[in-house]
Amino acid sequence: MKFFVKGLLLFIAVLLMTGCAKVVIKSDADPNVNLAALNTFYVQKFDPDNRGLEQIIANKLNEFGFQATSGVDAVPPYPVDALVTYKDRWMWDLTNYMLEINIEFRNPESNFMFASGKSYRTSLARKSPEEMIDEVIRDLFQGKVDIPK
Amino acid sequence: MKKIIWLFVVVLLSGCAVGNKYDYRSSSIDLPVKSTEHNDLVFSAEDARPYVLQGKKNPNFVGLQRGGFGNPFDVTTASGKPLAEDMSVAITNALKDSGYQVLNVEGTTDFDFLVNSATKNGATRIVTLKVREWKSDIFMSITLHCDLELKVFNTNGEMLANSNMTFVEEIGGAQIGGAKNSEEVAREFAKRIGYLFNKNDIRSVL
Repeated sequence: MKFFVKGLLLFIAVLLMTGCAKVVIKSDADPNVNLAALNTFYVQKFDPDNRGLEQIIANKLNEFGFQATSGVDAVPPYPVDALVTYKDRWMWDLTNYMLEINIEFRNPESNFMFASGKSYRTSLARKSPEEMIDEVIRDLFQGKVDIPK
Repeated sequence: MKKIIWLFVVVLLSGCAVGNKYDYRSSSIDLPVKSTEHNDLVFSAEDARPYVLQGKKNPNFVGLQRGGFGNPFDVTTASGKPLAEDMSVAITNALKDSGYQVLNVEGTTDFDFLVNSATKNGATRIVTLKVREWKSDIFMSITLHCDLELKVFNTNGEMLANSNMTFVEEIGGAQIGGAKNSEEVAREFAKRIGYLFNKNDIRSVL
């Protein structure tokens, strides 16, 4: 009986802990849109975000050879190829870490979302926001645009 | 004592997987089309999923939620209505938000009926969605099976444009709780419908 209970508790512990190291990096784009033709971006700040992620996203796009700026306005201050919006989620496990970031590319006139990507990393697989943003943008453009390594 | 422990294990492994319902009806869809020339439409969605047509699954079946051993449980629409009807309502609302007057024709695959309805109601376009497959399969992650075809016709019954989408993809990690998974798949549905409508051929005839 003791052995049975111990075995059961171990089984439950294994089941519960398999979620601690999950990684999902996923993106998709409207097949009707040519991502390779995009050059200019405006990253709109996600209102609840106070970590400056919009600046990190813009900097990463600039690193990759695009022209990107960021700001709080919903409407880009000048014409761009794509409006970039994002949502971040954070969790606490000894320290705060970013659990997930979703990045979306939208038509700046219609606000229609034509591409989106996400990075989801649970506690044991956590990375910095810069690294997670990097992997989302790389995944979005993979096979479509040459991104510097 | 052993019986209680086994009961606990069964509930732990399958409890969250049973009886899940997803809400596609209330999906908020952003469409890349705006009413300009053709303001009046007839819209119809047809469930062409083979397992539904063969009676193996009910029309309100939307996918599978798996328990701890991967054992599958059926997921159905939150409304209890057929999936095609829920999709129809969501898309009709999105078209109305884009400025169209839409007559949603449910429960028929008779194309002549759609043409007659369009003529009778002054509509200049007939828009149909054929759902050959739409099924989520959730275990540790969410896998989506999709085979959709969108067509636009004029009131002579001539097809003006079509747009297809077929894939089986892992769209993300499974969420804890049916409600969160419902949001996730509904959001994916809204996105994919938007993609279907964003084809140049479709936009140019609507």
